[in-house]
Amino acid sequence: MLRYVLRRILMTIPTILIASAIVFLMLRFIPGDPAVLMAGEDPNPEVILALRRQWGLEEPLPVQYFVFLRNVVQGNLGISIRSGLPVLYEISLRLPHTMILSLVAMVLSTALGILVGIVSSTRPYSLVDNASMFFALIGVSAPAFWTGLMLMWLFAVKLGWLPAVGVGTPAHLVLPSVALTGFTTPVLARQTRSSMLEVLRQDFIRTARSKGLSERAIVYGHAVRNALIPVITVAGISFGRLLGGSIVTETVFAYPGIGKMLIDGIFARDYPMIQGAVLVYALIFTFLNLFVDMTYAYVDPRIHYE
Amino acid sequence: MTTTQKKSNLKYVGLGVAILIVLISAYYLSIPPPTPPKPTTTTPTTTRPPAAPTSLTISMGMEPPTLDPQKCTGMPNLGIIRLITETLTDADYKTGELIPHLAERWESTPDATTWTLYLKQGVKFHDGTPFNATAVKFTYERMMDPKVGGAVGGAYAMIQSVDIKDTYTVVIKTDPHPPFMRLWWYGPSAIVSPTQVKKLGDAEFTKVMAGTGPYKLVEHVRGSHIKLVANSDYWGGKPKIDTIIVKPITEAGARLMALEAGEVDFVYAVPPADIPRLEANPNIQMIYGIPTRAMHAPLNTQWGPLKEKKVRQALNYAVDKVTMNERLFKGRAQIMDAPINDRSFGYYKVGPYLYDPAKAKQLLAEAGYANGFEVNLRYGKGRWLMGDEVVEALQSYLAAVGVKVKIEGLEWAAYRAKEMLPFEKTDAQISFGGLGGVTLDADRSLNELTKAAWPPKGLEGMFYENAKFEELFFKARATADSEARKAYYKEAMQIVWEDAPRIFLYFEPQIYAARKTVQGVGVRHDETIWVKGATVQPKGASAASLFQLMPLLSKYLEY
Repeated sequence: MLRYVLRRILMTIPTILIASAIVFLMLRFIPGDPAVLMAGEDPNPEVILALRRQWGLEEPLPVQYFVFLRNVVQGNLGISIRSGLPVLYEISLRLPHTMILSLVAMVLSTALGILVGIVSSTRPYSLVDNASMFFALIGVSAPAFWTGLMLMWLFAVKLGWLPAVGVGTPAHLVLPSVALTGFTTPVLARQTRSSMLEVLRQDFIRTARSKGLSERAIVYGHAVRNALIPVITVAGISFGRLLGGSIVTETVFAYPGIGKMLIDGIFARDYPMIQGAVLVYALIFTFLNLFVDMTYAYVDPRIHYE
Repeated sequence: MTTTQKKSNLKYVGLGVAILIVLISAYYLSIPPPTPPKPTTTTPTTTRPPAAPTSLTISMGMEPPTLDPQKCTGMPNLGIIRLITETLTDADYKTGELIPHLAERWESTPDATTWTLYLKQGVKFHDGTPFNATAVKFTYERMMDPKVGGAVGGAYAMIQSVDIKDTYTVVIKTDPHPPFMRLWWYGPSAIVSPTQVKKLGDAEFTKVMAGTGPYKLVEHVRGSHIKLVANSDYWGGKPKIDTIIVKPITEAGARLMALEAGEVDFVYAVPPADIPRLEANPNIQMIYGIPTRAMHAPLNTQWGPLKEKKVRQALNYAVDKVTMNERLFKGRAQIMDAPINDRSFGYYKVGPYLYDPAKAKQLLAEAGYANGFEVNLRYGKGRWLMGDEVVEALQSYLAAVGVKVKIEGLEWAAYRAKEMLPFEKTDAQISFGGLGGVTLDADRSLNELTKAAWPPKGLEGMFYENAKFEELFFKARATADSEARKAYYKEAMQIVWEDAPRIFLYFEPQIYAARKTVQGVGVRHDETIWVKGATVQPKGASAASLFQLMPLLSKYLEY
């Protein structure tokens, strides 16, 4: 198992290299020049050229990429064009916020989604089932943007129970994470439900019933474990979508995470910032995939890695 | 499942929960506690208990990427920067007239090349070092140094040298440029402490900042907020509001909700559609600034049908600006009756182009376009208040006179990239955008119409060329005689208005909203706020604040 994990970690290196190369190239080919944007309402061509030289943007592309890679290897993600501060410093200020938000949202949505899925599957086509699936449909269809604003309006403005924007206390986490769970919970609920329905039809469940085991023991002791594998896959993908969705949610709630930093950087064409943020996201995804794969081994003892 | 298996499963779950709790606690422990406001240093003259600390929370749509004035180009920065650093002169927030500030008085030679400024004495920077001519020289040179990364240097290109005559006298030599003194008020020239900049370097300096302003920087938590505390040694007297917190909230809906929920006291850039709802809210007051940003549609005067003056005039007659103003801006915008706003030096009323679609059609027919023509309108999305709506309105008004407009809405950076293409490469036809008029002087506003301002040196794809206009413009720039300048500008503007290189539309309204507990905050025409006489009533407890660990504010007030 250990060898497998090490091998997977080594494989992240080419993945991240390719991802960063793609982003690097894309940034330089799309229209928009950071120096022009910085120049505001006084676009003096000499100043713009001087700025581009200062940021190393006048060098040939391969040289720029090489410089970027060399810096990354030394742990230097460059200096942000907009703020003049090191990108790594900016990321380190914001990453914890995003991670906490995503973690809380993921735990919430996993727990809730799986629970709802199990309950629905044990009472197929009942009122509970239909109601859950209906709300699941709404959750998936409503844009995170809208959900966030609606939650804010109800709980922060009308009722005044929770803070509307920003960070600082556990209360600030509630609305953004609920908004985020909006689309992952339904997905997990549906997947759990269909997995469970399939498992519950199997012969060994009938055997367990005929042995006289309680319904509860059968469902939670036997069925769930077997139904979990596709759910874990979906959960892994959902976490990815959650990290992406956090960009919108962070903007709506003025939550100072890495998603908002990425959006601001994109609009300002802050190349070092965008490259740094994408690198961090790529790392998170790769380790997330590894974690998901390891969870399979825990859940299903038949799966071995070497 | 056997009992041992169940127990080991529970162990894992328990372990997982424990790890989660540890992580979350570590996270919250790592957030530094809020810094308490500094105690007042003045002894109370009454026996009343000390006043409760007052704090004003401001929110705008864009986060200031840096607080360093010499690196700033945009409005969001400038609004805050004036609280920390100050410029040599100030401007009255209602009229825009220059007022002595860090410079007490000034003189200039009649040829407008030598400017002498006499500085205020006894002013200190936040780091304790004195404000003097050395600091002014240092700051101005830093501003014009391209290596500092200040793209604003270009606006001050007429400066030849900055010299120290004595400790509190500065002499600036420029190319002949009578409107030069307007630039003393422009935000990026705010004076910074040379000692701090040299000691810390540019990157660290922006985290600490040392200016002469009424507020000191406490912390700038990037992405979250900026915290300022009142400078008790401020030369203008300690400000009444103890703390100012700046919270950028990009999403307009969220920003207004934060205001309604009481988390924010003052917001910028209120969408006009929300005005009725906010006016109906008993806790909220609307504050309107002076519209100075000119919004118009530059026309490429060297392309196709737009080469004809009559066509351009027709487009101006085709748009019903009054209705647009009523519907889109609730009447708060100011219709353009000259290329520059009416508070600028040199303004002369030459318009407006009244709505007359019949006349528009007639002019088009006279120019040979009785059947209209097709044209492309490009603009940057998300940048201007009601920008999308205005562009759609333009499309429908022009369609009514036979001109079919295809709208091309680009993301701002992509739009800038296309707009800045030089004449040989450009494909600009009609654009839509705005031009600030912050210096309140015709020189800067009309500059865009000169040949020297063709892209890539300027922002608007008009490629306008009128020899008479150029002659008048540069004559006006070359003389220090105010009356002569006004006469030149008057004639110049009449020419431009008739030539119609743009569809002249409106000046963008400045709409702000604040809670009624805030009194006396003014807004200047450059979108900076004036807190000199402002006061805030301390807040009472709310349900939301019960969650927070700050002590409840006391009910004692002192004005």
